[in-house]
Amino acid sequence: MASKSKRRAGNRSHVQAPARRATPRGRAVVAPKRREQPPSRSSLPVSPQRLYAYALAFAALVGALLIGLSLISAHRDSTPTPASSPSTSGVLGASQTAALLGGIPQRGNVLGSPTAPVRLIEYADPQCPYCAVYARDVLPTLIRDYVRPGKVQLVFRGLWFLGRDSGIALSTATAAGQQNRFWNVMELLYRNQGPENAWVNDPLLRSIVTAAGADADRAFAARKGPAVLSKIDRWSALAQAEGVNGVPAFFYGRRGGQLNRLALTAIAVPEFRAALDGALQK
Amino acid sequence: MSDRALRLLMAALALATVGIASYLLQAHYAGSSVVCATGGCETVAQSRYSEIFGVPVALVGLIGSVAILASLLLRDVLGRAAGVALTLSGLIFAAYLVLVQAFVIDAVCEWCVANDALLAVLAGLAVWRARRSDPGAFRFAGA
Repeated sequence: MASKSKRRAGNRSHVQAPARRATPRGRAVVAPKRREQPPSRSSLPVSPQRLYAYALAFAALVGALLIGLSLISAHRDSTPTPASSPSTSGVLGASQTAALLGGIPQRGNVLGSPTAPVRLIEYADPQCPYCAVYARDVLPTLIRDYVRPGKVQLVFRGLWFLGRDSGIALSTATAAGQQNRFWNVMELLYRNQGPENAWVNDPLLRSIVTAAGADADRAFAARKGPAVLSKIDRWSALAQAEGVNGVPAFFYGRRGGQLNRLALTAIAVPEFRAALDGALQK
Repeated sequence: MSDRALRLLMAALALATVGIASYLLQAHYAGSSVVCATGGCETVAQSRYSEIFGVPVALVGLIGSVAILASLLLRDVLGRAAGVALTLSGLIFAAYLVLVQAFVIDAVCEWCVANDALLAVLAGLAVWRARRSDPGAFRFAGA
């Protein structure tokens, strides 16, 4: 009780107005000097000690929450669930893909300036996980440093030896290529890649084609047509002729010149940079 | 060092993190690349850890940095505790992102590391400020 009233008294004195002093002549003056204030203490209903306990708990909770959300989000990105509707909501990486490829000339399976002095040809399967690694880790840098400046043109030749899903995905992308959206569809396929032969279905493909900015009905109508199928057969024949026995496989060289096979020890930017810089300097 | 000077120093550091986060966020939405000596920034920016359910991590950082700046406007114990809470939560998440860069993505983004270093200094200053202004503030934690 006594301590309570003491505390109240203490609180009161803490908020009192500046003391007025009576001068010998009877005039009241306000205490004049305002010294530098120490860091002010709050009149909060909780003690500072408890406040800091809350602060530490908050930090631990928010930190853990952000980490948890990041892990769940990243895991979700790596194991996508096929979209069940033709909307684009289930497609991962739509905005990044649009930003990555936006403004770059695209014609069928070819990306980049038609006058680029060097070409990089990629043989890949839509279901191949290493092709997805290349698309994720290397391609953005190549596009930024070589394709956008008009130095290198990229050519994609699709293969489908990993199964039926590869064939369906590839023919859909090739059909979207008739609307010059082949690269967008391939990029989105890699970003949404799932377990082998268990992720490609028409609703997902429709979502991807739509997210790529192409007319899905038109692409679906064309994907089993002779123009698309003959193109895929030609890529397969070219791969055989080049001795491609695994994907991704890369060939590079100056336009109109001989193509060299890129012997990769790792799917990493420096390997590509060395080859492309060499070809550009010739 | 007076509390005012300390707050000014922290505000300058927080402003630097706001600048870095804004730059990375602008590059994210514009699809442009950031200035990067090693090329690792692009890899990190394109990785699946660069977003949390579609929200760029740079935006999370920007919001956190602005919140730290706002906490510095409060001169009382609430502001100091808020500073501790915000900088430490940011530091925990930053430490996780450094580990992800080093062991999962296998690429390092210099801008992110610079931001994390600033955050570490900010957290240290926030705790120091709390301990000297509110003696015994962390006594419960054995500090």
